[in-house]
Amino acid sequence: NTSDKMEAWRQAGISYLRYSNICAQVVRRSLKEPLKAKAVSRDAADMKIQSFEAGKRTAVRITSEDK
Amino acid sequence: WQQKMLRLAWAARMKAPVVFPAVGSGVAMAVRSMSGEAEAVATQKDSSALPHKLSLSFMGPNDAICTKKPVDMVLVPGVSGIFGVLPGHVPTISELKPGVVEITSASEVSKYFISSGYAFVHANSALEVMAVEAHLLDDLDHDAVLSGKKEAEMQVKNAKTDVEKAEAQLTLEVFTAMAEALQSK
Repeated sequence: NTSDKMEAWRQAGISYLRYSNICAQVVRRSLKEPLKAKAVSRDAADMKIQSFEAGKRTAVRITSEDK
Repeated sequence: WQQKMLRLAWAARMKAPVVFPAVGSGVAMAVRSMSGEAEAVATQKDSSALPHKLSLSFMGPNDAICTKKPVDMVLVPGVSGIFGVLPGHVPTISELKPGVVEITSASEVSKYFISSGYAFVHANSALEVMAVEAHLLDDLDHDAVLSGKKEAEMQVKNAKTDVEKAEAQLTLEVFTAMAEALQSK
């Protein structure tokens, strides 16, 4: 019964979130233009990382500004 | 529901049996009143009173392809296999694998390729299909799919760690599903 088996990606240590993002990425990159350009922009996920030390803010890093 | 309750209360006072019309609801309720109290007895779902249409809501995080659209049948790629949803389908929750959602409405068939998602069939013949990416088969680039599939096959061979291998395998599965969908268009 397939419902008793853990899915292959789960067994290999991939989370559902990563699994669905990989599938979505593959589909987005296989689209025809002009849909593709719009879709690939959805691939990008950026974040702002604020570090703290002993209660004080230290470094800030915004991934979209990484070189 | 409120209307039904009002009619029940009315029937209780009138001490008369009330049968609710089955059109659009599929459930007939008979009311017997003894000592002034209404007793609602739900009878079996009359198969001739099943809704004639599925109410389909097909959506993704960015947009909705349709919301509460009346359709006749939807084929859905569940992880345990493709299954068809007709009006009156048993309530179901199913995870979806990369594949084709086929919507039949008045002998018109539309096919969408979805990357992954979930399908929820509700008791009132409402079907919700949630997919991260859902596109018409015509919007898939045939050449990109075939070349991507070849590349993915190479990556499966070259993958070293377990995670790399699983991700490459997954990528290959999605490309294979897309190639199959395009072939059977």
